[in-house]
Amino acid sequence: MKKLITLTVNGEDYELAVEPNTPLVDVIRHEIGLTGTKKGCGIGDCGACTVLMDGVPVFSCLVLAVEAQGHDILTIEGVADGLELHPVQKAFVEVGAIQCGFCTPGMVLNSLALLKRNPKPTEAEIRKALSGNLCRCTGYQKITEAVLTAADEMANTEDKSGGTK
Amino acid sequence: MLEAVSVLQSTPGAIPYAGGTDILVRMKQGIIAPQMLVDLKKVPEMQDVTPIGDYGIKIGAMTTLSELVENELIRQRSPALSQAAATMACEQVRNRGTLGGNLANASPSADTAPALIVLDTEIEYFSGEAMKKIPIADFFTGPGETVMKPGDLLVSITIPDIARKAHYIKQTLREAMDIAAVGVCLSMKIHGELSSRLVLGAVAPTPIRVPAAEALIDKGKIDEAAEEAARAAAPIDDVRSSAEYRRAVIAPLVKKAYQIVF
Amino acid sequence: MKEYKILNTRAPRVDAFDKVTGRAKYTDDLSMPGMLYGAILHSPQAHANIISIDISEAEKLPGVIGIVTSEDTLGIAYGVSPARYDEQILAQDKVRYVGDEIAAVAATTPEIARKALDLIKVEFEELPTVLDMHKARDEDAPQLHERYRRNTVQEVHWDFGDVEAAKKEADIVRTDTLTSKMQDGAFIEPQSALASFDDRGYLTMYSSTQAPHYVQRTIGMALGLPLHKVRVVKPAVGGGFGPKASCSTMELITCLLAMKTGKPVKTTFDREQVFLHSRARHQFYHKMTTGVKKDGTICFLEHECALDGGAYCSFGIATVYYAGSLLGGPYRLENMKYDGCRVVTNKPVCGAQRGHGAVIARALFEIQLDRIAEELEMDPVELRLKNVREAGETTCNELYLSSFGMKEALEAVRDSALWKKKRTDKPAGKGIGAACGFFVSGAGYPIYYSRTPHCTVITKLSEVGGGVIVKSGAADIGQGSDTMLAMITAEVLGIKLSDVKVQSGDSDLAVDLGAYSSRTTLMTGTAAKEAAESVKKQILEVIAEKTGANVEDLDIVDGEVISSKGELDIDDLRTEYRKEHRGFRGTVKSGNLTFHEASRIAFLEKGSIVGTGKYSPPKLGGSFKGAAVGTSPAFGCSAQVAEVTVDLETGQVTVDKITGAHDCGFAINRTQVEGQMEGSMMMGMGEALMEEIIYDKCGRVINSNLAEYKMPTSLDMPPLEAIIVESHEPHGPFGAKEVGEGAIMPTIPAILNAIYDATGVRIDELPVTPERIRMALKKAGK
Repeated sequence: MKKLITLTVNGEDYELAVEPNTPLVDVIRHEIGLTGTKKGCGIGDCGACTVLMDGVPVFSCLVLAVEAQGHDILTIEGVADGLELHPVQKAFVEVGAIQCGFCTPGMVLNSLALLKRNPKPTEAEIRKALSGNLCRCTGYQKITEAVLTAADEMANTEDKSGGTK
Repeated sequence: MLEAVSVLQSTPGAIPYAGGTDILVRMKQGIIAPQMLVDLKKVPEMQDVTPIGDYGIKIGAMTTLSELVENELIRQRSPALSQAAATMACEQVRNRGTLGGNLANASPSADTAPALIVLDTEIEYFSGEAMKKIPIADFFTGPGETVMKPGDLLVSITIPDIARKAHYIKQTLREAMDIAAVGVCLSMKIHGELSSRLVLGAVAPTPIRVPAAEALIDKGKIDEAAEEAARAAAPIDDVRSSAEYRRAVIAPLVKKAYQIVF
Repeated sequence: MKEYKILNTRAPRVDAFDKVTGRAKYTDDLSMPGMLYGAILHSPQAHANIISIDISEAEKLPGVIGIVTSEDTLGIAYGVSPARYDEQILAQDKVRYVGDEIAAVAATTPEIARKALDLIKVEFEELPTVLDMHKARDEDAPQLHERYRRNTVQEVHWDFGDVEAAKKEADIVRTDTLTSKMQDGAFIEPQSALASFDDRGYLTMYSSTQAPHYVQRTIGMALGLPLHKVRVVKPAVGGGFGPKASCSTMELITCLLAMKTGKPVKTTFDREQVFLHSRARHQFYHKMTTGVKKDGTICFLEHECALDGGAYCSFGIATVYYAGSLLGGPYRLENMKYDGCRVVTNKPVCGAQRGHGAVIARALFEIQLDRIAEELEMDPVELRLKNVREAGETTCNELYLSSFGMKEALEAVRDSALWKKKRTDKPAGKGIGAACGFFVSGAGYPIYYSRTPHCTVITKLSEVGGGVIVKSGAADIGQGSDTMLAMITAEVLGIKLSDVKVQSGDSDLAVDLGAYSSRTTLMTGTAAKEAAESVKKQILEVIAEKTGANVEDLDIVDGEVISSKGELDIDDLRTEYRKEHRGFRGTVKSGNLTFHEASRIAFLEKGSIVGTGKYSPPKLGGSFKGAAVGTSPAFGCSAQVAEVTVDLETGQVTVDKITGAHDCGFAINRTQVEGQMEGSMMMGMGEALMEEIIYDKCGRVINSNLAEYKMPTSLDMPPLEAIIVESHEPHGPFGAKEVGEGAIMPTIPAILNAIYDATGVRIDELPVTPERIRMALKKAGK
């Protein structure tokens, strides 16, 4: 039997009827229609479905949609400000950390969360934080560089504005 | 908690649901098909992390693996538990998976179990009509099996007020997202006699203590202790590793753990 | 060196914005009104006759709209190579591996479709299975196909030069073997296809494919549809690496379901199905006997090889050729004998995966060279430098190396990785190893016999002026071909990159053989260059005529038309343009005629301006059988140095760094070239240390998921250094040639050579897991 729930995704409320055993990733992709969150395996092995739940990265294939009620979900579509990319996104683009792009949404969101809790991560800390996001194209080299670049950029912007952005 | 227990005991096909990182995978693979998931995330008795005396700690079963890694009290009082949790899966899984879930699943290669066994931890669980307490070393009865019956609920764990230092070593193929082929955890008391505890994971139907090896460690005979530990193990061949390899690396890992802890 | 405005830079990818914001649409992101979901019934048996298939219960399930079995097909065999069409869309009389497709369902939801599968009853008569490629060749082994005697799909027997005579000249001869396992492409996006027919019989299929053209042809052939009514479109693709380079059974089934139900049908693989479908790296057994003189000159190579490719041929007929032909270089080797066979067994099917059949062969040869160097007491890099070929040379199997920066690449990594210092100055447990390799820059011949151009490009000037649209059949699967086409076009036309739009991967637009054998930059890049030059010429001809200038004096630079003979008389042109654009702001220009204006004027004069380009390789290759495979208009080459630390007690290997140098001829986009090198290193490292498909005794894959099929995570990968070498390939656009597959060649042997350097033990089986190292150490008494 379907349950009526309200999900808050990218700051917007969506009223939905879902089966209790439906994973969040499917509801995001089909019922809400935000296809930026990808499905690579469905069982928590690849990281492509990563979203932020209350700012914390989770596998949306391992969260039931009904559990996500009452939490703030951030998907890749909620990161840029219109056409203005977030520094993490900009860094991914400029450093060349994107090839096929399938791991990119998960990588960007996980990186965002990392930089929030650790604004000056070392390369080792970045690699550890992203170890749940598999990438088959890049060898992780430019992804790691992009996060370092974004961290620098965000620190500089913070310095310039003299406080938190 | 009593509400949760009542539902679990009275509803056929109802199972406790913590972080979901194990249950949802099994459901997807068709291994289990529960009728109802009893979500424990708001059960108050299962949440808190409270100090006991100077060195002890009580941890609620719903504490996430991330919390185990980051909580200051846990890091101070049971650093091997934080350390073991940090080796598990990845960030995204740790943010959802719970201590209670990891223990209740009772995988022979569970990472939190060895770290808790070496600290003489006790498990508090609700069964039938009342709360029960059991030393964690007696909690696991087989691969995926514990003393708990359907309807029971793992509520919290208590690490006694005794100062110990400990270290967990996990042998895996990959640096992340991997299950232990072999796990070794060693603890020693900080004050007085060593009274060491040595636990092996992933090389027997449950995590096992090796008292014979512990006695040798207490006497300072580390090489013999390592050999004894290797003998005590009953590893199997599986998709990750062969029994022969598992047995072969136990002694080196025990010695490594000793170097770090001693 | 010519200075370019756009080429050789680090321009961001043209599709980066869409990918980083989640706007890019991959096949499973697409949907159509009334769309149904397809689900496939895979055989649970590895080898069995089908006695009966009962779909009656499944048909009754509410929500099931159509079910197909082989009776719904024309029974036309298909595959990859026309010489080996051995596959049926759905099993007719027998199944040959766990995963072989038997039936399929289209239903209103994926859950109902899957549930319906459980209701299909299949009666099997089990047959004995054969899972080992050597056993499969026995005369009394179970036969998988009537046509393949001794379960052998293809044998190759080559004998170049005079190996027997060369044996007498060699001072050192050694024989080594290497066994690998079946591996997986493990792209993050599972295959997916969405097919829809219209009322006039036009089929459109969106699919996560590397080769819309081959898919189009196979669909037309197998489903009996006129080719011009079959349209295959590649949306964004989440990685291919080879397994997606041919038409899959799933794509055909999806079309069949769409045909049967009259509705759009989408089928998306789950991860387990990706493993069952495989079409990934073969299992190889190589045995090489190599002879060298005391001074290190290589005399001969005698090479035997057996490939296990699972139950059908797929790319296998080409794979067994590549396994031999790509040892003709990069060293001087005048005497080479090769005997190879490609076998079928009751396992999922193998195809082409990054580097195709050459990867494991290259690994053994490079490992063997190191062992020879040790016997000669020679530095392994020096041994290689002594033998390495140079541009202008031809290998004994007639591969002409028009450009070849192998020496430069090897020297670059030797120097950058501080090879000499690190070899001697080394703590215990640490090792350093080097290796070389090379690969084709596009196969010399298409997979089906034809004179067809390998690609065409149609570049259309916007009628309104200001931009161009490049229409290509090329498949950007992540390697960045769209960006490459845009950059070449913008460079030739002298305009901004942002004024070039690329439409690609659609069989309606143009012909392109697809993204395989590392062909796109060299081949489609050349066609795009030709098309852009044509557009430019047409524009300048109009301007020349209108201004009375000589067309040879005109050029377009930085978006402006300039003349080498001074200012042009453009007043009339400008006046007309301004009049046309009354009400538009910013159209009053001064100075040179802009590209905006010139292109608009050219349209007014001539109508739509279209430039076309095409590419066909010159006739390549020798006269011997199988000469076609391995030939290429150009060859990319690669050298790598790997540094490792090995825990001698547990056998755990940590790769500390990989330094690579690759000769790509000319880097159209430096960032993208580095990206391909780094990705190759990751796949090579995974294949060297941790990737293997594990089967049980019944032929089932038991690690059909990304937890137990282990590829490196970010924590496993070390820092990677990518050095670009540019040898200026005469047959490539602006001198460019491949990087996508040549760069994986050195990785496995560089790591294995480093492991030997660290441990002193030799392991002849891949992947080199801690367990294998530990056991080898134990056996060696260490």
